[in-house]
Amino acid sequence: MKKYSKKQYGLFFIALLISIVFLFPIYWMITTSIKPIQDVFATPPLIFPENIQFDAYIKNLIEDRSIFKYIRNSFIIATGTSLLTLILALPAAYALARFRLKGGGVFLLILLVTQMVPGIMMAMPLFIMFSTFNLLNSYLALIIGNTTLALPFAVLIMRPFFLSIPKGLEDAAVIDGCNRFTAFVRIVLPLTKPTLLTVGTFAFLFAWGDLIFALTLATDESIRPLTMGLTTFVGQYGTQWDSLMAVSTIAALPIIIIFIALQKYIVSGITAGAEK
Amino acid sequence: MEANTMVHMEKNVTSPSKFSHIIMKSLYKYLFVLPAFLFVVIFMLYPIVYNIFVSFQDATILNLSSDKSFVGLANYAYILNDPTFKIALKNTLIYTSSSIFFQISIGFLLALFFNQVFPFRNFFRSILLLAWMTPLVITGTLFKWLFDVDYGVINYLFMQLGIISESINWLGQQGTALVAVIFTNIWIGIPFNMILILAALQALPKDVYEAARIDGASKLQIFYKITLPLMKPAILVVLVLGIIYTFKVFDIILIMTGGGPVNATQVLPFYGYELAFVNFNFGHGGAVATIILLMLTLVSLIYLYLVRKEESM
Amino acid sequence: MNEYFKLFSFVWILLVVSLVGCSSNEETSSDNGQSLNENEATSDSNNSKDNVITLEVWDYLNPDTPPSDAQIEYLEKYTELNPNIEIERTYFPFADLKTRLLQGVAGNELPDIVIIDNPDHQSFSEAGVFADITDEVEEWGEMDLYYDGPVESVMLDGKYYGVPNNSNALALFYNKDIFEEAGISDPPTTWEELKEIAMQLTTDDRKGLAISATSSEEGTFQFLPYLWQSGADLDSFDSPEAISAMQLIQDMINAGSMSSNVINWDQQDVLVQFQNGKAAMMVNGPWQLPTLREESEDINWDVVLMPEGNHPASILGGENWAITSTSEHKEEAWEFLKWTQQEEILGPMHELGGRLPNRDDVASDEQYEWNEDPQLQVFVEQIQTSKPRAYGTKYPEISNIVQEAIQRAITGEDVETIMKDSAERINPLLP
Repeated sequence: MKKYSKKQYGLFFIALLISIVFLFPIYWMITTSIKPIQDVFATPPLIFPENIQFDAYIKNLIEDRSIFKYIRNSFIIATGTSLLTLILALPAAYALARFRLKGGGVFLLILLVTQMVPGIMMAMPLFIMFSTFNLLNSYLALIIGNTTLALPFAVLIMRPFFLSIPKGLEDAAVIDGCNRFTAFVRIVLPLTKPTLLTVGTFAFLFAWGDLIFALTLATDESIRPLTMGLTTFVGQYGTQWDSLMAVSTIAALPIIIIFIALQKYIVSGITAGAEK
Repeated sequence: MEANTMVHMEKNVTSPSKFSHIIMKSLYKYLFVLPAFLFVVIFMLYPIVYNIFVSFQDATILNLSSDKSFVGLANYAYILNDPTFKIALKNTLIYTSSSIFFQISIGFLLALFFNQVFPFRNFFRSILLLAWMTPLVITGTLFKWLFDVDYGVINYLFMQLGIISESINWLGQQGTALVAVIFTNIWIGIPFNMILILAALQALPKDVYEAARIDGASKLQIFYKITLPLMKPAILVVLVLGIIYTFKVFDIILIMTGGGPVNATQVLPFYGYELAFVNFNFGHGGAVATIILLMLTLVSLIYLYLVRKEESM
Repeated sequence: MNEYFKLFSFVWILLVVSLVGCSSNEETSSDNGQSLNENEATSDSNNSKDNVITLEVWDYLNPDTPPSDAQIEYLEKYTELNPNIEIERTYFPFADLKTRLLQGVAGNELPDIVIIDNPDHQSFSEAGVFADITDEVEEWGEMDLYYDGPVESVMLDGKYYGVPNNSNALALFYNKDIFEEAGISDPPTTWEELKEIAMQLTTDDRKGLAISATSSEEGTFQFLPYLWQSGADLDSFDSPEAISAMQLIQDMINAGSMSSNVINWDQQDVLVQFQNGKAAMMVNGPWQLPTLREESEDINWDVVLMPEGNHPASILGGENWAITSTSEHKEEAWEFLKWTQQEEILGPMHELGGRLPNRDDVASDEQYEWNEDPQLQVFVEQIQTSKPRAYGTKYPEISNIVQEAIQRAITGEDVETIMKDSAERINPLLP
């Protein structure tokens, strides 16, 4: 245990205050969801809930179970995006870091530029392309769409990581009789776990939060993810804020869990993303 | 066996008779990049090129699968003459610049604060990130509720604090809707900016500060004379990154206002979406996409210039 | 770090496995279902079809409301009677259904059957979304039984593109308790009274009146009655009468007797305000009657005709059925539509859904509640002065302009300017 000075405890309280003020909207989301509707429409608003009830949760988890279908779809799409991104980005980033490739610089440049194109602008051509190949309304369409957002980010933060691994390690392996590929798998891959986690988590989060591709590439209710489900709830509940906030809280929950488990990788992902 | 050939090849790279082996050898390396390369070309480059292509065509929902006629610059003429485009452009610029300004300045202040040592520092720093990580659909819905004119808690708190004298219909008025949406986006972006700036702060050389302190410089002097100049490159990168991400605004607008009331929060990406997916005029949508692309290319040139400048340092 | 990695991969694997588990279970169960039906079909020699046909239905009937309950109940009833038909119903929020239909055209993903708001029917027919069912309708021969307004809405260039299902109209609901408390005996019958009474009933945490002015067809639906009551119409949107109608809305917002939040409210939100005593009066339709009776026993309320301006007027709303042009099961879809329109089906379905009939035989049948229930009778009477939105195939675009005009008025722009601007844009779109 470190000893802190009085001043540091003072800072702690300021930090606490900042967090409370800043995260008040999240607090409000949760408390609204457990208030009876009369209290939701109270003037002035009740900052601390007086009557707590879980009707909105019963309604949206037990009576109406459609939210589970949306959550399931979101998991399939987000996991698929995460895997596809890793499969594509890992070898590419490795090769771009290790080998002198003709056009490698151009490829990196393209990735930088595509990262800047708004998703909605990618959605229109993809929509037309997928409608020609009958790919609309499939998980694959959404996974591909989301991977266009995640892939540049993934390559751009993994390449510097590979650059930081001493090349001598693999060369030694190659001399020991491994080929480049087995050297990659046996020596490099195990070292990349933290980066893989960061990239995987980010791809997952990108896809989990995506609305653009869900909105444009999936007209079929059965494959729509949670974000799209939420817009349906918004249309359905209008101003029944207790239900709407309950649905929002349920939708945010997986994010909060992932965040608690992996916050270190998320923070390092953000900072790494800005470096390149 | 394959490994043996590899080693063998590496010893003979200079021999002209083994030229085909060189190709084989480098091909092998290119195979690592091939899947990602194909993906980028098919699903990312092609769409961008397609947008440009379709912006010169008369493409609507009716002729989607048949031949589309070339219409020259007609789509651009339509867009540039549409009063909504000008409003959307203006709003996008206001939205981007004011979001970035407040995100970076508040983010900077918070980063300075969290750069100090105190109990649970990392915990607080991370938990603020929740605002940034929550899917935008949820954040948008939540702030719609917070900004509600009759029962919204923001009106109540602002009235208690004496900032406003009566309830404001934030999202329902042309004068305030954009302000409310920007406020929401600032809230989302602050922790992201804070983390980036904090990382840069922690990478600053400690000895300079030591020297300054020994020389008797005040805290304010240290900040203006040392911290700010040293942070300049990092802030510039954060700035450009921020512009690129903020320019893409779509989800919040769709959820909170739908571009309204009466175009008060219409922005370019949402305008492009409406043209393409509500009116189903892909030609018009493509033209807006291309215009956005041109603007972002400009920004990305600055971005690349900055990256290069930083690397050369 | 290692623990996290393990945890993460564990969670992932668990999820993937459970998801795969889910879907494979579903597949097998649906397989079972299908083979069961096939067995039935082969054992039943009368049934020539050996496959189950799935009809996809899209509608905008809000979940947990009477219209949607009626819809679900009757869809289920039909599949019970016809084991070779399965019906898959999808709900879309009212404002989204139109966009979804258009995207469905582009994506080649249209359902077989659609429930559509009647003013939009013609424009979708023109866009080729709906199938021409003229031959079937003529062979059926029952179209003469329907009222003229609804029939016109399913027609384009002398051809039939659907069947009108039900009608509705807007009327004024009021909270008797609040009226009593404020010492007001009668609900308003004129615009002046409406303004005055709404003001008297307004308190710190309650508004006098709630309407919907959202930027969807619902907003236009709620505004047009005032336009017609003033004596104006969409072709005279900049006339003094039309201006007075919009001024009425703006005045009530300015006076504070109506919340400026109305631009965010659809008609369901308006009901929520009324149910929670946050609005003393509301303008709404008959489909809200069953909900109010069921959920709001704690308040005394009643419904009366809409107040009059220069003329009495309300708006004729309603839903139509349509079969899409791309449907592969047009025959089966048509059989289903015909089934819903039989008197003994349609009558109870309307009762359950809080809707009004638009067929003579159903409307005049004494056994149904619209011939006895005094509150429903108000709507039946209101329909006499209700007008349809018969403005041709460009109506959805016109409606967008009207919605924008309402929003501008509510946010406080000069009404005269708004109406002049809007009239200029509306006129070229009128037939």
